[in-house]
Amino acid sequence: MTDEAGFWDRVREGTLSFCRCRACGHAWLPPSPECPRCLAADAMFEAASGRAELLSWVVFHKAYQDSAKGRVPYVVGLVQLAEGPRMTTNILQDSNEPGVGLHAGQRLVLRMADDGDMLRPCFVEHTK
Amino acid sequence: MHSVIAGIGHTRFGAHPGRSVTSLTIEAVSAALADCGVEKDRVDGLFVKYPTSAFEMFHAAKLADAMGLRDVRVCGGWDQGGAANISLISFAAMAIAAGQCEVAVVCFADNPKSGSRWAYARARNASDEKYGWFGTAAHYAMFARRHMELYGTTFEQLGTVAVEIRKYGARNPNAQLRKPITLDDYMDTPLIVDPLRRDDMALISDGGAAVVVCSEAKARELGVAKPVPILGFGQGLTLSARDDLTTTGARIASETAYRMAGLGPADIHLAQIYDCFTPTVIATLEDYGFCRKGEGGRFVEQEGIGLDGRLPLNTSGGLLSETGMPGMQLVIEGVRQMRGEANLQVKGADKVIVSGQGGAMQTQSTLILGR
Repeated sequence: MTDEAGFWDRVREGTLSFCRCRACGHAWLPPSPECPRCLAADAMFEAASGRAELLSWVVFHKAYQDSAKGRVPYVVGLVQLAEGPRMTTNILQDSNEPGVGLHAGQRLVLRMADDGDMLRPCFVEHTK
Repeated sequence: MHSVIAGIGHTRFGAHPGRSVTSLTIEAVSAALADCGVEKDRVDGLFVKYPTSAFEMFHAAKLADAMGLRDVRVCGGWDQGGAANISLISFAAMAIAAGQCEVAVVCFADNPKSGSRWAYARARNASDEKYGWFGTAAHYAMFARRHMELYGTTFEQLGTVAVEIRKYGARNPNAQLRKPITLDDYMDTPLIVDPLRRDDMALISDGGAAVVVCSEAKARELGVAKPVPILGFGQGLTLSARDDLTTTGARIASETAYRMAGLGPADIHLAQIYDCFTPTVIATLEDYGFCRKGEGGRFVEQEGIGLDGRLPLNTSGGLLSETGMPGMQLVIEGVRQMRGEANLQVKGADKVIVSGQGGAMQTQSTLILGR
């Protein structure tokens, strides 16, 4: 099923996916069983190319939850996949100053972060 | 025939440890009824905004019980975050116009300051948790960054919103935060969720507020001293993933309200804009037509939102300074201005536009009041 659990199952296998409607062809995230365009419950997962554009980003300097302690500062970005769906994700940078050098419209590419017990689909600057 | 806001009431702003939502609501409703001299037994409509920090099923019906309202014909709660209070006022006006009730109370209370703040720091789903995408502020920070990137909106412009609204709050003896700041103070404080600082963010407050709505004729019959006519209202919803992230449902909400009132932004010289976060003010001024999209930052810097500016706004201190409660304080200040009894009265302003919004700019409401 094209839901959150199915999305993360595929991430665990190393694939970032989005939902594709078999009825109307619409592509979307976050994952849900019904197509938000035509409402058909006939969706499948499709592997993303991994290319994306940065729409916006924030830098967390505060840990709002215990799970974020030890991570700050970190960047959360809003990205648009080349196939159309948008997702909120982490932007990974080599810089010691998270967020510096980012700009709207920047080209990004997928990088699976390995957190030990799970993978996390993140994005890095596309340098080529 | 217009409906009017007949009475206004609110609790003290700040912390109310040990007080329940019901208790705070009753205090606010009592104050609003006393303000217009209307007996409780006249109330036959009860419209309630849900508290953010704790959901309660049948909240409005339980409040009717707690207030002993025997003859209520229309009663219910509404879930629209910070847009709810204005929408409920419009629903009350529509119910009155349709003969469904005659004297409506619109009210709410919440106690996140001394109670639970979980709603402001939570992840909205399991994926958000994995990315550390927490808290209400971050959604507005994401919005602000996009605005800055597309239109060149600056930290100084966000800061100007905070500085100007804090000035009003500092002069309001009832405000929770009465400490003015300079732009230098603002720029010197650390970023919390870059591009936002603490001074960009609403206060967290306990409290309750209420208004009494009825027809103009009913207000005369009841001997209401200073009824304030409701000239227009509207609502607007967008997808949270708007194609143009920076254009919100406030455009639709205000177009509906302007059309109903037969007015446009050029007719309006006073506003109460939902300032949960400073970028919201900038975007709402654009969507309300006070300037073009992208020019909200320059508007607050150059046209001015202070008492002597083009558009004085949040003249009692707004969510940034008077109280963080979600929106009714803005309506109440609008009413005081139209009555001519505001703490910082804006001379000559005979109309006021008031905004509400919730869900990180997704859902919007607009109210226009007159004299």
